[in-house]
Parts: sequence; structure tokens; C-alpha cells
Amino acid sequence: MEEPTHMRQQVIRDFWLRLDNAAKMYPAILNKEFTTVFRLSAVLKQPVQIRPFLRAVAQVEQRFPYYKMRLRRGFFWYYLEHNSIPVHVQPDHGALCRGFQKFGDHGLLFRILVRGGTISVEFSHILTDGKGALEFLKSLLVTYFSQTGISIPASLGYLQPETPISGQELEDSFQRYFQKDLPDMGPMSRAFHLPLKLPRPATFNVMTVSLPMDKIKEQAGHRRVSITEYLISAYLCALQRVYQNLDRPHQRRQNKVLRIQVPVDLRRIFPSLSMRNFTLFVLPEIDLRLGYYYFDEIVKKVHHQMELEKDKKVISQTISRNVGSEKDQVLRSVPLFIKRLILQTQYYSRGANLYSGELTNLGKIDLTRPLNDWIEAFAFIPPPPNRALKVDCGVIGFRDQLMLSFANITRSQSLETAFLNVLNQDGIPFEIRNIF
Amino acid sequence: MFMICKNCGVELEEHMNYCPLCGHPVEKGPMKSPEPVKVEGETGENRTYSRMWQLNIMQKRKLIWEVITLVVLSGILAVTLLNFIFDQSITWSVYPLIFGLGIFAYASAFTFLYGKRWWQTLSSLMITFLILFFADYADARIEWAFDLALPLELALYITGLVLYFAARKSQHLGFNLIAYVFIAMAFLLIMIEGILSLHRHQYLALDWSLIVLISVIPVAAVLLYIHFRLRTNPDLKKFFHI
Repeated sequence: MEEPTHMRQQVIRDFWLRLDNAAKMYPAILNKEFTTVFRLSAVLKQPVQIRPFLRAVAQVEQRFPYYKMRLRRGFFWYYLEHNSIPVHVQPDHGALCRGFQKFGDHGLLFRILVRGGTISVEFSHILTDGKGALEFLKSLLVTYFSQTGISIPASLGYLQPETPISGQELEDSFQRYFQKDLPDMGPMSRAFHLPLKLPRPATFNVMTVSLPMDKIKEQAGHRRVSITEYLISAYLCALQRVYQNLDRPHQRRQNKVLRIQVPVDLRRIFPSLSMRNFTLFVLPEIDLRLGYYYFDEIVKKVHHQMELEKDKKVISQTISRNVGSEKDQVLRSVPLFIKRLILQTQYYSRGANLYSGELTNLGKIDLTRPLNDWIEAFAFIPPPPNRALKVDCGVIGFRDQLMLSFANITRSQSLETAFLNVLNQDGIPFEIRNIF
Repeated sequence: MFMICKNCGVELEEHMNYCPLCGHPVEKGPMKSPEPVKVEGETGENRTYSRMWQLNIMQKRKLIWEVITLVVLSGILAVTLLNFIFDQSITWSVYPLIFGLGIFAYASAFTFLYGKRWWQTLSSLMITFLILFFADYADARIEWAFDLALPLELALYITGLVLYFAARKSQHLGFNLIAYVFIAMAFLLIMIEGILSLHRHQYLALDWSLIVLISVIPVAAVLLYIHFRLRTNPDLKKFFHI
């Protein structure tokens, strides 16, 4: 039995991965402030028992070797190389979503942090998306509970440390679902951006708010839309209010299209077990040149736009465009130091300049009855927004509460205030939480 | 009964003196000093064995020197005797005599100056020059020892020494060594052409060696780039994946 284990370790030690299609952009654009790092936290009702927790980490890290990677520069592309150093659990000193350090994080692109009863994982988007990170956190939590002696229900679906790793977990599913020769998508107009000053030195603030799930469900259900669509509408409505509050000269200078970038988990549309990035965006919008939008009008527009843009064929077209660029012979053969400049330009021209806000909803977490009772809340902090966006929002649901986190790189909270006012006026109370 | 770390708030076990997460000491009774860490490595016994092994090498070196001395001196004696028997004088055997003595001198220097690299280098420089000088002296028709042999030898040694120090300075050897060799050869060729030019025309004129230098520099630059990107990662497939 020794030889297969040894061979498996050898294979793991030598393995490397190309960056997936979505991740290809990130190393070129990230910097000390725009880190592309997001955080998922579970707030337990009891302080973390450190010994069982460290045992759980040791087990779980073996199950996810494809996350124990470090970023390396190739001649043409960046790539990921396996790093077999054991994961070092860090005490959480409250610094959120900071960039990964070569020495402090042993070159890894994810970290595990603990403070009191809060367990957090921070992942670079180069490694995975919210779904991948969530699966990791679920495995970590369940293994930890198991180590503390809590019985785990057999029906609970999670990636158990002892189960074999499927090859499909490592795949770049964008490549699998890439179709050649689909027509290109038309150009998109530039979008409105919050006219807020960026302070120096840079700052990063997070406001976390909990909302009652039943009230949100009731209001969304009343309009026959999903919770995500409802929240996007509130976001657009808040942006409209910010725009309305600008004086005339400022309004004239601003783009009139309000557009929200909403990540969609493609695993729900295209069957995939991939634990790497497999997310694309839909971009619901309202155009203020057409006049003022009432909240119900926005909800209706967002709902239909979401339905249209989540269409499998439209998504295929976006995959085709993105992967097609990656496969372009000319772009591929350009050395990395030139490619970085191209990617940086493209990120703003084809990405950040085209939307006014971002809202990521990771959905509702359910670890089933006995385990849910040990957890007080989950929270999700999206990556620090870029300089054009300035504020973005992450949403996660657990039991009877929906947790919203606004990540903000300005000193103003005008958007958050407008957003919460929209909800409040629709009869949804909120509570500001002090989790981080 | 459990304890809570005052720094990071996690739950600790009763026997813990330090928080395993943040390293904060637990405030309770007298603390145990941490156990000394056992480091696996070279033991005293191994080191003794290592010295013994070095001594054996020296003995081997002396043995090899004795064999070389015996072979070379007997060869010189035989060749000189044959030359004297057939020609009644020492004529052509001067050359095997010079080169034989040169080999003996090299063997002696590298055996008895073992570990003294500077002395080895200096003595090999002198021995080489003496071989060339006596070879020139033996043939009285042309004189080239001081005009050509000495500067060319110095050029070769200087190039070799610079290359040696560049290689020693490098933490990792790979493509960079090839690049250094290319650059060193290009500069050696410049020196050779310069020396030949001064010898023939009494002025310095560089031509083909400059073309070699210009051709070599881009190649060396690419090799150095590859090396410094591949320093800790020699897998070309992942580095060059397109």
C-alpha cells in the first residue's frame, strides 16, 4: 500500500494548472488595493475549539490540493504550481481581503482565519469563485464539527476529506463548453459610476447588514421575482437616487446608463463539477435618458433582463467570446509582459467601465438541522471593488436572515444609505452587524 | 473546564501553555519550557568519517602523482636516450622533455597545492608559460613566447577567472552558465583579435570579433531571461505553455 500513496504524493507535488479562462485576467490587474480576494465567514455560537479545528484543517487541505497553489509567471501566461507546505491557520486581526503575501501566506492564494467563534476563509479569485470557496468552507466546518464529536447527518452533501478527488474538480469548464464560430456580441455603452473621491492612503471599509429572510421573500414573491432580482432592483434604485441627488453639471458629465454586474453560477446551467472559476455575468440595466424609474418598474425590467440574459445560448455566446480571445493565436504568442498591458486595458474597456455596481448572491446555506444549530450566521465579503466601481455588494443567506456586505473603497456611505432606504421604504427592516 | 485565549478568543485545552493559533501565552501556574527540538543532521561520528574520507582522497592523489611522475620521467628518460643513441645529440627529444616536465609540474602543483586554488591557478599560469617559453626557445627560428603566447595565455586565464567567479556568484546554475560562456568567449575572441592585430600591424583593429560579440549578446540575453524565470522551476512545459 506504500507505493500508491508515494506515487500519488509525487503526482500532487509536480502538478500545475493553467489559469482558467476567468482567472487569466486577474494577475495582470491585481495590486495592493485591488486584491481580487473575497472572504466567507461562519460565525459559530461557541468559540472555536482550536485543537479539533487544526485537525480538521489538516484533513481538509488534503482534499483540496488544487487550492494549495501558488501563482507563477510563465513566458506567455501565468500558471498555478502546487505548493505542498501545510496550510498555516492565521489569527484574524481584522484586516479584510488583503492581498496574498509571498512569505506571510507561503505563496498560497487562500488563507484560513480564526477569531473567537468566527471561522473565515479568504480566496483569491485566481483560484476559484464563490461556489468553490463555499464548498471548501462547508467541508471545513463539517469536518470541524465531526472532530468536536457532533454527529454528522449521512444525508448532508459536502466534499468529505476521505473521498477521492475527481479530475473534473480541476477542469476549466469554460473550455469544455466553448463553441467555435459563434457571432461576436455587440459593443456596450459606458455606465454611470459613483462620483466619489478615492482617499489617499487607500481605505477599505465593509458594512454588514442583516435582513429578515421572510420579509424579503414576501416582497420578492409579491412581485414574482427572485431574491437576487429584488436586491438588484434595490441596488439600481439606490444608484438612481445617488444620480438624482447630484447637481445638474455633475449629472450632465455622468453616463446615464445604470448597470449592475451580477455573477451567475454556470454550474446550474452547464453540468460541471469544477471547483475553479465557472461564473459569468449578466448585466441588468436601466437607462436614465428614458426618464425616472419607479421601483416596481425597475423590478419588472430587471426580472425580464435576467431571464433573457441567463439563457443558455446567450451565455454560450459570452463563453465563446471570452475563451475565443484566450485562444487567439496572436494574443497567445505575445510575451506576458506585453500581454499584461493588453489585459489591463481590456479590463477597463471591456469590463469595469461598463457597469456601475456589482452584486453577488451566493444563495442560502443549509448544513441541515443539527449543524445549523451550532452556527449563528454566515457572511460574504466581495473582493475590494476597482477604482471605477468603488462599492460592491455580497449577499449570503442562512436560516432566517440574509446578510449583505458592502465593500467600499471610499469614505462615503451614500450608496449603502440609499440602498437601505429603498429596502426600508418597502417594509424591510435591517440591522447593522458588527461581525468583522 | 476550558480556557479562552485572551488574544484571539479561541477555546484552548487545559494542558496548553500557549495558544496554538496566535502563540499568546496562557496565564496559569509555572510554564513548561518548550522541549528542545531534535534536528536530524550530521553527527560527530559522520564528521570523523568525513575527515577520514578526505585523508584517503589525499592519499589517492599522492598515489596518482607518483604514478604520473614515474610514467613521465621514465618516458622522458627513454625518449632522450633513444634520441641520443640514434643522433649522438639531444635534438627532437627536447619537445617531449619540455611537455613531459610540464605534465610533471602540473601534477605536482595540483597534488601538493590541493585546496589552495589561487596558488594552483598561479602555478598553472607559470607552468603553461614556461612550457611555451621553452618550446619557443627550442626553436630559434621565430620568437613568439613574449609577443603572442604570454598575452594570449593571460587573456585565456583572465576570461577563465571571470567566468569562474561569475559561475560561483550565481546561486543556481543553468541557462545562465551557457550565457556567461557565450559572453566570455566573445570577449576572449576580441582579445585574441586585438593581440594578433597588434602583433601583425602594430595597431589595434577589431573586425570579426565585434560581429561575434553583437551576435552573441541577444542570445545570451534570452538565455539569461529564461534562467532567471526558471530559477526555481526548471519545467519548461509549464513555463512556456501557450
